[in-house]
Amino acid sequence: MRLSDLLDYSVLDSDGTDLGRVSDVRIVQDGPIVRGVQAAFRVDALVVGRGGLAERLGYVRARVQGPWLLRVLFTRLEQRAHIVEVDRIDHWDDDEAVIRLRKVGH
Amino acid sequence: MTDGRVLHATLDLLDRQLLDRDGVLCGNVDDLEIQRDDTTGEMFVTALLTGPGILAYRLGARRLGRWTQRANRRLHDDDAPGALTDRTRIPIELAQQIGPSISVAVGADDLASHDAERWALAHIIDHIPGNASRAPQ
Repeated sequence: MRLSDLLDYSVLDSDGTDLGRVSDVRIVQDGPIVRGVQAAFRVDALVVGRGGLAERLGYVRARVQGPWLLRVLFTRLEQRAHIVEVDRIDHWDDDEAVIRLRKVGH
Repeated sequence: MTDGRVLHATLDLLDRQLLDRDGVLCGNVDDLEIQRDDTTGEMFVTALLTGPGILAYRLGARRLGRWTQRANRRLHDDDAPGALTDRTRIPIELAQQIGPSISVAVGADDLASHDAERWALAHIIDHIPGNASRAPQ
């Protein structure tokens, strides 16, 4: 699969609510060591919806506090973005390009 | 989330300039290859993709992208040097430094990024009397 394929997927919550399309992918370099060279790049979460810019600039989850004008602006944007941890994915529908999520805690 | 380095694919990887092992510009990251394990649900970025057709595919021209990749492979891969099995695919473990540009442990000639220029140099420019160019060996 290519990243560009993944960016075509829509994400549906466990109750069927459409959260939007995948707008970015958060990657953490903490996977197993590949060929003795470096840790693998694990896909940790999908950034879903149009507020992805706020996440990428660090305004989601209060990682960046200021300047206040940007904080206010991006806090609003944040409400439109969803960070979906990969372990919440329940089902991939590759024909329809849809990712279905499981309920939190299941 | 654990303590490893955190990157965002579209912000930190896509469209970044690639530098080969000698610091020569050798294309841009046009797309990423992601492997999904259906049993564990884990996904890993396994390669940087660059070269003819990759960007067209990413921008939505899927058929044109695939066709361009196939055509480029037919034209250039037989006589291409280098150890990569797919010259549009750089395994992620060969990405040595990721920053404003990405340094990779391959030579520019091993990649398909400049195949069209190389072909034009070898088949057209070199045959023009008085040209000062040399096709890469």
